[in-house]
Amino acid sequence: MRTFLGIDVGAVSTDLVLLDENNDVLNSVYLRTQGQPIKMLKEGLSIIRKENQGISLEVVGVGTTGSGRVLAGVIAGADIVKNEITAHSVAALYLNPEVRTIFEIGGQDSKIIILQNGVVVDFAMNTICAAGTGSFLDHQAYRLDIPIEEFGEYALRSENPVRIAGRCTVFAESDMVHKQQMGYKEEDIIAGLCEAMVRNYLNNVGKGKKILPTIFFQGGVAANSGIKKSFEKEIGYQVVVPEYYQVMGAIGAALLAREEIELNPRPSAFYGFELVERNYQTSGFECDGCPNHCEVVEIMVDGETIARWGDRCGKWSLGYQAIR
Amino acid sequence: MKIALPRLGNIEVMNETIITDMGHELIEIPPNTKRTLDLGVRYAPEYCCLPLKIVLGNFLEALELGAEGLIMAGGWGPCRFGYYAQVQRDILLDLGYDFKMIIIEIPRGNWNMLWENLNILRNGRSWSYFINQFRLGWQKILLMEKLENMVLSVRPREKVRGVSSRILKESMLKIKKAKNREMLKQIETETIHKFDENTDFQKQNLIRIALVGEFYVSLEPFTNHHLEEKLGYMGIEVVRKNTIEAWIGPIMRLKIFKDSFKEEQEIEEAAYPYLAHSVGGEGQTTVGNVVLAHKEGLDGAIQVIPFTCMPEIVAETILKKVSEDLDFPTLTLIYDEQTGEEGLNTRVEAFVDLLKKRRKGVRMSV
Amino acid sequence: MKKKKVGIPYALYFYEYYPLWKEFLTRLGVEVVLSRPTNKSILDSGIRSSLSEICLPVKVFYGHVLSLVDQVDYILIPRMVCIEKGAFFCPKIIGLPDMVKSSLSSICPIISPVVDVRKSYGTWKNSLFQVGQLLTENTLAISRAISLSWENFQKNYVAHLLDPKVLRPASLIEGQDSINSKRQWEEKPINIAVVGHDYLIDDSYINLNLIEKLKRMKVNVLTPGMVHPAMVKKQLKKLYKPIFWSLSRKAVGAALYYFENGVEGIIHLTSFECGEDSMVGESIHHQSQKCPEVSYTEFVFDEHTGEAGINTRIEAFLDMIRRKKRIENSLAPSW
Repeated sequence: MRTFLGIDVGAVSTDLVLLDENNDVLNSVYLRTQGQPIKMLKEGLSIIRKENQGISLEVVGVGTTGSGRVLAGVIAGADIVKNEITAHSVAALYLNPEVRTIFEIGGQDSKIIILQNGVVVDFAMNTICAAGTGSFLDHQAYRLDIPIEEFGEYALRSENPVRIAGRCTVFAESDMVHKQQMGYKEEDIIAGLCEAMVRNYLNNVGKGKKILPTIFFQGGVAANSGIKKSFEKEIGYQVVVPEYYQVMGAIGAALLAREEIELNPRPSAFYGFELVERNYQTSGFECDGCPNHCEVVEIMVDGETIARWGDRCGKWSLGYQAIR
Repeated sequence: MKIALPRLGNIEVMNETIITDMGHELIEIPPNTKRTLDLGVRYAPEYCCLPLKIVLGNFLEALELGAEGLIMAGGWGPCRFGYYAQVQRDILLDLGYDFKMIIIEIPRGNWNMLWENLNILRNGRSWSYFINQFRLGWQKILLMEKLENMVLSVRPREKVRGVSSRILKESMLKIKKAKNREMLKQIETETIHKFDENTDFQKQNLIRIALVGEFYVSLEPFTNHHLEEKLGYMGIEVVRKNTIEAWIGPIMRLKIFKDSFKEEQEIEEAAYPYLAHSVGGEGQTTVGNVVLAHKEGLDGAIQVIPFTCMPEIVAETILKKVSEDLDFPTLTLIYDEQTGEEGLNTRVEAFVDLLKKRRKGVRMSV
Repeated sequence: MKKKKVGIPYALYFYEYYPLWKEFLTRLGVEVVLSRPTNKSILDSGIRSSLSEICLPVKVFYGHVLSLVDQVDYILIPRMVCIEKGAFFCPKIIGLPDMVKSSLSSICPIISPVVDVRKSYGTWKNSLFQVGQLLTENTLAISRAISLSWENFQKNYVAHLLDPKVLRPASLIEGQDSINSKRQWEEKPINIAVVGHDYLIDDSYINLNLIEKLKRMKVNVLTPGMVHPAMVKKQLKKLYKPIFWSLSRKAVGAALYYFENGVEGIIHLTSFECGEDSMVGESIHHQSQKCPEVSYTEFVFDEHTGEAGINTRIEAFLDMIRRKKRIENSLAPSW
């Protein structure tokens, strides 16, 4: 069977999908990155291999995306390495060509993408801090000692969300602690956190953007029904959470790989599922060639250097696979 | 025309005189609240300063109430304030509102705009009536400010907590309705009498703190989280260094062509060794006022500034040095839309404790 | 006699005025030491020595000053107030010499002439003269040095603008001929204007090598420096209220020019906590809404800006432009 593999390596999660020739999802894997992107990538690939035991798979194209896209591209042998914004918009447009707005909230960053007639016309990402992102909620969940998965339920129960001030995690946290000490109900505090996050997202990431339906909400945080509800309350439109909201980036990467291979026909650069048996090491060092002290990263497979990056001048990365 | 004037403390006392009396319909902007702030924050540029956001919130609330004309002051830099009106106008136009921005500023070249705007306000009334009412409005501002300054020394000495704020509030309502100077005079006498009745004159040698910094934040209680009241109830006598009088007084006294006045000169000279040039806004004034506060024997100074304020960041940097050189405690409070009350209280209380300890230290050594 | 050494921090307004000061001081027999381009240790020391609320460009300036302290006899920090009618420098630049003096305790003498052309003491010539007098007693030599360096500065500035390599009207840029394969769409150069302050556009450490990255991705990069001052002036007349900050005038005028002159995208570089940028950014944004055919984005820089985030933004911005063109030319994928 001809298939396309999409890999999205983010700070918080590593997602993989395998699409068949009708662009239908054969397998989807969602793993926590836990600071070990290579290990998780290999684990994801083994899961896909296991799920397809006995089926002969031909991976025709591989695309990577996410903040770890370059690393993933080197490890897997990608045909295309694309940024998350393009990947997310391609996936959403494939599901619904009418989509005009995408809210994408992941673990470490959040984005808004504005589309018109099937093309991206504007986008924005969170700057500087993590307030409008998943890690903000994770952090508060930890503080409240409530599993993040249950956050949505709690929020939906609330009738009087507490107002929590702060675009910055630090400010919001101190305000939240104060509200706790004043004795507000837990669900009201959680609903307040959801509203604060949505407000911050719209005020910072979504500032000045015309938000029109159809609206897609994707990324890990879309699992939280409290956030979805807060969005709908704040903007007054229905918000759609697509079935594969967690792995939309990976779906987009697979679609982009297909597009790339069809545009420029060639055999895929994919190393095959056997790569899970290979031994990858990463090491880093600080170059002291100039006052910039760049932190150079080195990727080795079975003792042989296959990629380097991180230097500004190209002294170390030259000669290795150029990453687009 | 239905006209609104943004809020700044009790500045509304002159609304009737300069708007209603000219035959306009006055749109009273609701007091600054969280909602005002939310509205402003939603539509203003993320990194612009807080006063722009709150005033934008005022305008949005005014437009909801049907305002057609919005009065705003202008300026010519280098502080951002000079662009507020333009940026707010652009934002409101983008949102699809139909209104006239009535910008009052000393023109650069184009006197037509000022002329046009004054004529809109004058609304066909005679110039002498217009000027007379404007002057009356100005007298109201002066009285308001005078009483507000008095309450700063009454509040820490008041016999019943909260009574001086209540007296002040009542007087403001009376000032607002006053039709002439005689009535203002009477209100003044009455209010001072009431203040005196409620003051415990036994309380001497209170800790005195100068309030310096950016104009809007220092004078707008909602914005600075009622700092003056807070300090007053802690038994502190606040000495307000920014005044509307000093800000627009020169224009009102039609002395715009004179470079500086005695007080301003004094402040500038005090600042000179540390900041030798005006940097726009209240930057140099803040530095000068802190030096003067030290000279006047105050215990310390609190600088209040909106987050990212350009002139005050210059001043803040320099105040570190001033404070060190003069051994004079200063505290900088930075306000933006997320400033939480608790963090603020903690810092203010700690600062007051520090001043109290210094007092004791001095006495013991004497 | 040993030559006197004057240090010039390679930051803020010196991106524009360094040639003038360099030539003037050199003609007086002074050795001019320009700090090295911004690097990690300069940035780090700048951040350490300044208040956290200060904007990044001023922190960078602090770092450059500190990198010079041990090498020179004087450091030149002019107080730039006003160089044209109706416009100022930003408050932090006006207060810069005082701020540096207040924050850095052990520092060599600072030379801070006032440049304020509204005042007789503040004309360019007078402030150059004041500086000259600190360094030599030969007033004739000072006067000569002033007129020669001023003349050259003006001449080179204009020559720089007229250099065909620098000034390339957007419409003349190659790649406009017919394109028939899908691949060629990806390869075709696109024209992008990068606008903002020179000290952001030209400081490749702070902007994370943005300009080079764009060029590597087959972008023709256009900057405010390529727009003739007369065009800038003309564009600024369109604004409801003239901009009263000299350094922002150039950035905004150039942005408005490029909106009308055939670029596919405009990137506005701003620094976090920059007061000017927060306001003029709004003017540029306002204009961008009137020109939907030009893609517009804003990149905010501060000391925490990460390489990964900027790369993603650049890539996404270019993808957005390229994919838009492809769809316009019905070269979209078939499925």
